[in-house]
Amino acid sequence: MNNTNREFKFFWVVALRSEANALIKKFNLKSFSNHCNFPIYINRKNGHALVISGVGSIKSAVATMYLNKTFNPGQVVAWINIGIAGHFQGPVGTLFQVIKVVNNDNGKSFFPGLRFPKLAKAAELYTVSSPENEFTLPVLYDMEAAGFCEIAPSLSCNELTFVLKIVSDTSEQSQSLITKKMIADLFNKNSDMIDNLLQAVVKIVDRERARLGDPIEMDGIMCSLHFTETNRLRFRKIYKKWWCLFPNKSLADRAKKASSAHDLMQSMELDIATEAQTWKLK
Amino acid sequence: MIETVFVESQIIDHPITKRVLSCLPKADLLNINRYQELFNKRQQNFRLQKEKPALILAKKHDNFVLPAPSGFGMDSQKNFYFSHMYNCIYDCRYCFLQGMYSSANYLLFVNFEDFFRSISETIQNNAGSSLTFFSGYDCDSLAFEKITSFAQHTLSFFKEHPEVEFELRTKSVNIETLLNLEPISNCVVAFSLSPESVADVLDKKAPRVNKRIRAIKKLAKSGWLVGLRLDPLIFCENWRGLYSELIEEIMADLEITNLHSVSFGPLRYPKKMYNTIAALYPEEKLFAFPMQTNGQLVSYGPEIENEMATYIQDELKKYLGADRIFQCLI
Ligand code: SF4
Repeated sequence: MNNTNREFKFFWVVALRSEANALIKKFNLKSFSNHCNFPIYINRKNGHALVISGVGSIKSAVATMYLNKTFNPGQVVAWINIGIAGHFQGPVGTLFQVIKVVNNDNGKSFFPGLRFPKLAKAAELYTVSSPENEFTLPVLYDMEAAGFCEIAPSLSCNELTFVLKIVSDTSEQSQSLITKKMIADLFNKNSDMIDNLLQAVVKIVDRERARLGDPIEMDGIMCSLHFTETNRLRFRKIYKKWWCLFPNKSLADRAKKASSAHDLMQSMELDIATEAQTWKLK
Repeated sequence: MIETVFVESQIIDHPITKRVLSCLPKADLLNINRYQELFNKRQQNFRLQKEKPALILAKKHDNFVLPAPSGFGMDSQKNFYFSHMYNCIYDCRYCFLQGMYSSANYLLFVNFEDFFRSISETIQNNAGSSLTFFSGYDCDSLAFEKITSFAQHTLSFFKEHPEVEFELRTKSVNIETLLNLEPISNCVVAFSLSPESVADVLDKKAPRVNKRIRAIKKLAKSGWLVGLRLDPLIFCENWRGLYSELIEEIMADLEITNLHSVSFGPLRYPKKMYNTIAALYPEEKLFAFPMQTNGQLVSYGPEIENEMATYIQDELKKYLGADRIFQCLI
């Protein structure tokens, strides 16, 4: 049995309160906790959880770990770092899907997310430790994504780790012009694009959960019979094969009649062996 | 279609890089230092990545030519293979590449010239032995031809080395390159095949078997040596009938003098690889079969393997001599 929390599908890590506010409003999130300087907001109904990390790569990494520890969501959730970023060119307000993140301090690179080329433009991003004004490279600049990417893929997987950045300043339009209102406007402007991306992401999450999840009746059966730890693993393995062959059959009744876990597994193996005589590939 | 291309900075000006990029004008292009930073990353989800693989263009630095695993290949004294690419545009459910690499991205090594230099050295170092070189072990040799022109380069190279044999293994029906060339007497174009109804279920994204058979016949007719690779043999209801039909269909009107060889091999995996692949596709019936584990090897077991091997061999002998029939056991 696992104790992972499957209510949530989207875990947001944002640096600034004003970025968070846009999402809190959009997803109707409620305050969940405010410990360790990492305020968390959630909405169990629509499956969103958000943490405000504060500025900086290390804070972003720690906040990601903290959010994961708080909810233990298991491996099949999307981790999303969204925020404003500087860009060499702009225009201000453009949302990019970041497909390469470079930690400017140590040169380490990350390649987050399945790509959605029809939904957002791709970009490379440099995470820097102090605000960037020069924009020497044709990339985005932020101060968090590398820290987030250091942690998030290990909690879920690289393909379900996303970095989305909205251009807030360029060499032409200085950072000093950024206000809370401007950030809210930037998020509002991209609201539909964010929705479209989430629709694409949730399809993947649902599909992966169906693929990797255990059959519903499995936990019940494991409670009703005595399984040693080794037998649990064996049962899980056999059951997945059995379920693949007999997706419309239920094992619950047979489990009730079985005298032991061993007995049940033997009967399942017999089913599979019998099926093998006339093996159909579909 | 390929939507994202990562290119190692050091080969950005290589002619093959330029050629590939010119074929993919709409793809997003990003520079990387070394392909390992992307291809070998941990925590990649192979199955999700396989839905939209990116292309990585890189330079290979060593191990251009490797000895083929024992049991691979026909009757040469020495077999070698080389892989200009890792991963494949097709998605055969039994493909061992799924358990071999953590990434499903296509990795193309553009420095073909270094492969050819290394093959030349191998030929020199083994003068006097009968050698066969195989391509298509870690990818499909022809599937990417329109973009890479790999086969064209490689065939020209081996044309200059008639003392060795070269096998290009494929499921692709992109045979224009070959048809536009004069057949090369030491080059074999070997097609992997399964019965149509098996391939329809398992050879995902690969050309249909009837198209492959048509391509084989066309090539043989135009003078190319062709090979048939019934590998892996898939056990299923009525497998005898299905394989007999397949063999009959191939042999009908095939220019049999240009049939170089037919080989067949069982479905076998190292245990760890099998577990990795089976975990990727828990809903796949192929991996629900009660396979047997013998030491570190997972297979249908000797009973099924032997029965299939004997049957296939007997069927093939109806059409050609035993000297052209081989069993591969890797
Ligand atoms: S064609 Fe060969 S390399 Fe490609 S997916 Fe199929 S088995 Fe794998």
